[in-house]
Amino acid sequence: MTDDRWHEQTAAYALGALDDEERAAFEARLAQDPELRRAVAEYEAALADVAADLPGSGPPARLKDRVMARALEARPAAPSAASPSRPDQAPPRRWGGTVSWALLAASLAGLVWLGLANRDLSGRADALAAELDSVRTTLVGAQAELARFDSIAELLAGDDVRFATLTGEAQPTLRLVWNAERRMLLVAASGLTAPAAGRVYQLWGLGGDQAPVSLGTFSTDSGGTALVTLSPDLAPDFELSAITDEPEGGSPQPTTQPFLVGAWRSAQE
Amino acid sequence: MALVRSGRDPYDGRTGSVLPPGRSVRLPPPRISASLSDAELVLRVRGGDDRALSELYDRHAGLVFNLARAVVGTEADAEEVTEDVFVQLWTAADRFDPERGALRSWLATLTRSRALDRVRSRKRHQATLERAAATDDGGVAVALSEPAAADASALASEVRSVLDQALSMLNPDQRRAIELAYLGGLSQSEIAEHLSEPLGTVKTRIRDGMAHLRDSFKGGGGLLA
Repeated sequence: MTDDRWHEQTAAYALGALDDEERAAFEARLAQDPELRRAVAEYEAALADVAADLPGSGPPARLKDRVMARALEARPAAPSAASPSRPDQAPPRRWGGTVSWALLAASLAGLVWLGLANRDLSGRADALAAELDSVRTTLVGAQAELARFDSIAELLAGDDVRFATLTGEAQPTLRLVWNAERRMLLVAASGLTAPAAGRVYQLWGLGGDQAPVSLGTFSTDSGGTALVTLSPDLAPDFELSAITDEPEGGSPQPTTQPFLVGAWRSAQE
Repeated sequence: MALVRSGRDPYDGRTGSVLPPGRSVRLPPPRISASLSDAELVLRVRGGDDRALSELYDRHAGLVFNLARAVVGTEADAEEVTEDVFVQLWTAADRFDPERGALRSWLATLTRSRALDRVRSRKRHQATLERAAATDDGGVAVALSEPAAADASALASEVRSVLDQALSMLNPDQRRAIELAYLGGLSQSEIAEHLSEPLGTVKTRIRDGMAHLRDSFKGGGGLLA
């Protein structure tokens, strides 16, 4: 066939209207003829445009789950590229470049958070009592009744309870107690101005070179005090935590500089 | 100032900002950037990145499904075709060659192909059932899986009407021939037979009509009035 004859068949091929024999011959030619391939691509693009105008509102939402499940069953995702379901699987990921965690980590080295007065206490009971004391200190000024601390005591009890104190340049401090067994993370804040309207504070877990993981959001009352429990369904294996100011509802990743940061430690340290 | 009342009740000093116990803070999988091109996403699909597949699904499932539905006539079959297409995209992404055209074109072509396969196999199945029913002595209760006739024909006329509009730059003969191929999967010979026209005439109508169609869409995409 002359070139013209091939090109005459291009449109019919794109439509799928060639007879079997013609199609086989055309496809053989296609493999060797870039011009012909370009011509086919143009027709296929036009047909795709026609398809885009067809009526319908697309598939039901539930179809996507089915499709993804079947696809992954047929061929699993690559481990390094797959969506992380746990923070320890998250690959290192840049996220906006507005915060330099490396700088922050370096500046943390100088922080004295490790030198909390409670560190030299031996015996867990003493350590717990001291933590309770520091929580109370944070809440000084509040009309707290001892009975209301029951749940806090409950929170502090446990084999794997972790504490953190978040500090920054300015006044406010945050004390965190995380009882992973009970899935309760207590945030005690004082002197923390309420976030602006439409904003919220978000607590992040950090470790290694992984992307920050949200532990939850909270706000403070007009007195700058907060005592909230978050319930992160995560293992408490973060080195640090930090607070950022985010839009209401929180953000998947921090969008502002953290202004309070601290390291986690267990009661035994 | 309210304090934590018990292990079960959350502090609620400011509504909406404290998660109740039992509610886990589970992040959705990070969304892959919506600014990546289709070709880049396909590369990631080849590398096994399911987020890329998810993004491609979000972008193109609408077109795939609507096209499948136009050809096969039912939502259920259209869902299956859509599934087949995206699973094939995931498992055989190397078959897509970005040099040979846009992913969207490739998906549209694959969708139509799968949809027509399904129509043909359904017709064969139907024919088999009808043959069985014809020779049936009443012992076999054959439930022909025919889509509700009224719904199917309502969809068909809606599709025809939209297609007529999309192909309005063509004359009726060209339009008819192209629609028969596009929606019905008929070959040129079959169209000629169906219309009782000479094969040469049909070939010319398809060639000229498609050239006209292509020229109308070039550089724009979508309907050009």
